[in-house]
Amino acid sequence: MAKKLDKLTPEQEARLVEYREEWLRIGTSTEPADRASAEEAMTAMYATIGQPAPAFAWVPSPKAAQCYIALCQAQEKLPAVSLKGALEKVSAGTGIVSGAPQDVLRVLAGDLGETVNSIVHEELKGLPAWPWHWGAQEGYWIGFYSFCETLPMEKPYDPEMSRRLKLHAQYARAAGWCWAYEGLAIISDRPAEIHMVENPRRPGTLHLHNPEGPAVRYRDGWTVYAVDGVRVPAHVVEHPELLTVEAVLGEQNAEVARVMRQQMGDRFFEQMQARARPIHKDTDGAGQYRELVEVDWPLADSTDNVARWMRVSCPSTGRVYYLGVPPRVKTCPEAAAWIAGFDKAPRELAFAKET
Amino acid sequence: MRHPLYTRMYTQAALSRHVNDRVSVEALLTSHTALRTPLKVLLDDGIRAGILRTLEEKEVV
Repeated sequence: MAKKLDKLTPEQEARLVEYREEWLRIGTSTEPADRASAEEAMTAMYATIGQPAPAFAWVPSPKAAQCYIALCQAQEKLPAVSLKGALEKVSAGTGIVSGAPQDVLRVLAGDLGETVNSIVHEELKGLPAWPWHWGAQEGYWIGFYSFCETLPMEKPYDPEMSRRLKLHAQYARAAGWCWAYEGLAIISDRPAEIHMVENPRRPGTLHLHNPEGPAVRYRDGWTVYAVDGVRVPAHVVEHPELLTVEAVLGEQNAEVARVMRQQMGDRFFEQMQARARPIHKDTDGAGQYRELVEVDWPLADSTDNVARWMRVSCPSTGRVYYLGVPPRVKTCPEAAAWIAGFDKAPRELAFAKET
Repeated sequence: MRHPLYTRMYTQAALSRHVNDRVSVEALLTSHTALRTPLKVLLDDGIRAGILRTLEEKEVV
């Protein structure tokens, strides 16, 4: 058994911070991709597995990559259309780089006819093709092993593994996601914007956050919305004035519902308080106040035309949640039991302790 | 074709074995806490997963 490096020195611990900052910068870079460097690294990776250098198709976002892949898949279903010709057209075309995904699709499908267009639309409804490299977002492991390589371990990395690690680092520094096929590598540019803040639930870490616009935006306009690290539909951020109590209480994901309520601001509580009738209130096993409330809701799946929620707050974050329960639930412990998966009448429930 | 994903996973596994055999649990824990975990939370669990989930949504283009 090799002798292990026992404990990090203060200098090595300081270097940890330097590596974290460096890879955080790389992982959240919004600079345009360094195409030459990315292609060089990817070509070397292909060579590592005995493959010749691929053709490179650069796209502005992962969504554009999906359009590109869907088009190629559609063409396989239409052998009368030359895949090779289309790929050359796409690779050389300017639309794929500068246009929005819809524009890209229109440009490509316009050349190939409405039949292809409709098939591509069907393909896009399915799961996306899985990228083969996550680019800059692989920084967490690349940065870690790059740091470890600087440690005075009894034996250094195998030279080939060290070379491959450097190739992955080179690619991650240069570009976004890559879909690698035989003879063809489709590479997405990096985002143009990434918004993040410190995660209060995990001090020292960051998460995506922008309550006023996209948390991630690519150069073709494709966006990802997230608030407090919770991914949400675009309208929750772009049009909070259209959110309603019904929409919030009908949302299945409790975290998304919380963000929706947060986006509504005081309007949510005004609407809720005006409509909610208290049914039962107590404190749970951890001493947290909770309340079961009822709201008239003709659309609810109930013969009584009412819906019930239990209002609870998280003891560590203080965040308030409304958790939906069936209208037959009459007490907070019964609601808690139902939420936990115990679907019994109140008299059958006997709690020794709630935690 | 043994595609690049193979080389990535193989590289990660080899490096992991190398490091785990030569660095103590205490030093690894320090390294994970200060370096790997914060990056993983943001880059992998946050940005990568957020983009992928959005991509998976059944959007009619």
